[in-house]
Amino acid sequence: MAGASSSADVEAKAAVFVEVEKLELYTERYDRAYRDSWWRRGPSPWRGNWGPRAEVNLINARRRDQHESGEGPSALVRHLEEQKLRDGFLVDIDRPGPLPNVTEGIHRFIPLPRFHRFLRGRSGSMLTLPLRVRAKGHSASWEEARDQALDHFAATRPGLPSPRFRGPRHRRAGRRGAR
Amino acid sequence: MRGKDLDNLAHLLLPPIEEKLCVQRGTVLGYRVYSAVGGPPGIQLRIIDSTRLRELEIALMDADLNPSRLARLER
Repeated sequence: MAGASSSADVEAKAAVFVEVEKLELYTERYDRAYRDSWWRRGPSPWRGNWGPRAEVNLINARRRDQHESGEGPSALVRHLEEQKLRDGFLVDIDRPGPLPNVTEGIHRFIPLPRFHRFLRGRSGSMLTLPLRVRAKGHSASWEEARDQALDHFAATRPGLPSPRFRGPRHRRAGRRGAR
Repeated sequence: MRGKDLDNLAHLLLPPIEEKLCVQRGTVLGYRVYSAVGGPPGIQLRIIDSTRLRELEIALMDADLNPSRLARLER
């Protein structure tokens, strides 16, 4: 059939969807959505799911992992740590463009951006990289700094101090070394 | 930093992120890149679950389709 494509053809093609919107319109929609729904119950981009109960589960799983052998407890610890790591949420400043006057006014009295930065550091889901300078000779040094920051993050996961937080490959290598 | 620079920045960050932090290449499901207010100066890179991006899309659409009384008054 003319125009028909095989499954191999379909797999080879990539689909890219691009939505273009004026910055002012997007920020207005973002602010409106935040104002209208941050307090609502149910699934929300403005709220995380990691709570005290999950933290207790993680602590218990780490304890079990220390005392029991086998991949089961370790896999559970890795799963929970990853869940905690990715449980970031969005707030009113997580959008491009200047903030509305009301939000700016509130932030003058309550330092919410600093508070959110603190929380993001605690959950380990954030790292800060240097700004990229567009000048000759700076590109390589920026890439080096970027790689260093990512390597450090991968090795330590700030906010997740457990030395057991490693990918499966690292963990297996560590065990072999210990034996 | 804006426009094409932001797009280039995302493309300079995605491959090393996937290489160093993910199980394999092509596992980052989405990203948002923008120039925002606040400090400290630098690139704040956050790793969050892809469900948040979907929930954001839903919240934006919901605010358009079911505006609150305040939003209706503002309009």
